[in-house]
Amino acid sequence: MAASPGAKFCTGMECIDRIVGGGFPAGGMITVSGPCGSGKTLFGIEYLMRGALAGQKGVYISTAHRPEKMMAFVPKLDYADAKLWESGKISLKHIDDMGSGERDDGKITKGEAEAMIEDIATAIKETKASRLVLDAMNPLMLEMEGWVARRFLISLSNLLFESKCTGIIISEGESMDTLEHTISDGIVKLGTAVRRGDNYRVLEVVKMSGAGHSRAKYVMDMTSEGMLITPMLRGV
Amino acid sequence: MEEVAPQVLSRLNELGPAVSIDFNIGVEAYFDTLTTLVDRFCNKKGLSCIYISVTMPASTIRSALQSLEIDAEKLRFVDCISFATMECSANDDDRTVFVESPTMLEYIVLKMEYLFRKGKDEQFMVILDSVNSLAAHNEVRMLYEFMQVLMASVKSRGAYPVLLSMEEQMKPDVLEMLQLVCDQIVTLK
Repeated sequence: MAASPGAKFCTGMECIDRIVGGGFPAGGMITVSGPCGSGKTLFGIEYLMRGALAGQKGVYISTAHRPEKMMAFVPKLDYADAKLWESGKISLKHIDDMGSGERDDGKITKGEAEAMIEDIATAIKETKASRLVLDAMNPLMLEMEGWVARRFLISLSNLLFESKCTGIIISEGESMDTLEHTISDGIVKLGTAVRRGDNYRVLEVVKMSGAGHSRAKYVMDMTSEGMLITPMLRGV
Repeated sequence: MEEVAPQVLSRLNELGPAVSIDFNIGVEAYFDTLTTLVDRFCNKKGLSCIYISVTMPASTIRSALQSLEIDAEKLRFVDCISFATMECSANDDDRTVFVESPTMLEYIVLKMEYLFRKGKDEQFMVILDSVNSLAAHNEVRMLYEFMQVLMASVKSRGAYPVLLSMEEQMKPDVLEMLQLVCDQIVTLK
C-alpha cells in the first residue's frame, strides 16, 4: 500500500523537522543539493542514523565511493553508535552492484535503468527499509540520456511512494534546474554564504510538497551531536 | 567599592534561572565577578557553565582559575578569539570549542547549542564575556538580533543567562540594546 497523501515522515533530525513543517512528505523523494563540501553526505548519513536509532531500517546507495571506503570516512558521531552500520539497520550498497552493467555506447540503457530500479526495490523490500539515500545522482546522470534519467527518477519516485520508503537523492552542484529538482517532492539546498569576509555554511528549504515550510536562510554546523542550525542574522 | 561577591550572588539567587542579567562592572571587579560566578555560584550549585569568551582566550581564563585553585571541571568554553590569533590547537581539550571570528555570531549560538547537547542532563549557566568586546566587532543592530536569539535559546533550556559588560567601555547605543534584551542590568558598586 502506498504512503498516505499528506502524511509526514519525521526525520528525527530535530532542526530539519522544525523547519519543514514536521517532517518530509511520507514516501516522498527529497533532493538535498549543494556544492562539494557543503555537508550533503553527512546530511544523508544523519538521516539514516536517526532512523536507525528510532528502529527504522535504511538503505544507503553510493554511486561514487565503495561502501568500505565510505565507512572509513564517516566521522565519529556522539549521537549514535557506529555499530548501527554493522547491526543491519543500515544497509550499504553500491550502484555498480545493481543492474547488469549493460551500457550502449557508454550510456545506461532504458533496460538497465529499469533493472537498477528493480534492484533498488529488492533492497528496500529485503531490508524492510523505510529510509533510502542515493548518494549522489550526478554520476548516474552523466551515464544516462536525458529521457532515460527522467524515466529513472520518475520510477524511483513511484517506487518510494509505493513502498512507503522516504528517500533522499543527493545532488552535487548549485543549479536548481536539473531533473532531480523538478521531479522531487522536496528540495533542501546546502551552500555557503559570505558576510564581511566570513564564510558560513548555510541551508535553505526551497520546496517541500504539502508543507508550510520555512523560507529563511539558516547557518548550519555539522557536529558530532548532529546537524545544528540557527537563523542567519540580517542586522536590519 | 563594595565587595562584589555578595551583590552577584544575591541577584542570581533572587532571580533564578531563565532570567537574563547583565553585570555592568569596572575593570577592577572583573576577576572577582568571574570567580564568584564560576566558583561561588556554579560550583556550589553543581551547575555546568558555558563561558563565551570574547575578551580573553579560554586558556588564559582557565589558567587564572587554576592558579586560584578553582575547580573548572564543569566549565566549557566557546572561545571566539583564539582562532583568529592562531592560538588554538588540535590538542585543546574537548571542553573548549572555537569560533573562527567574533563576527561569526551565528556560530556562537551553534557552538553553545552543541555544548548544551553534549551535557544534555546538566543544568547550565551561560556567561557572555563581554558585550563590549562583541560590540567592538559587530554592528549594534546585528548584536541586538544575536542577543535575542542567544537569550531565547538559553532561557528555553532553563539555564542562567549572564552577560558581562564593562562600565568604562559602555557606549550609549550598546547600553540601549542591553536594556532591550536584558531582564535586569545590575551595576556593581
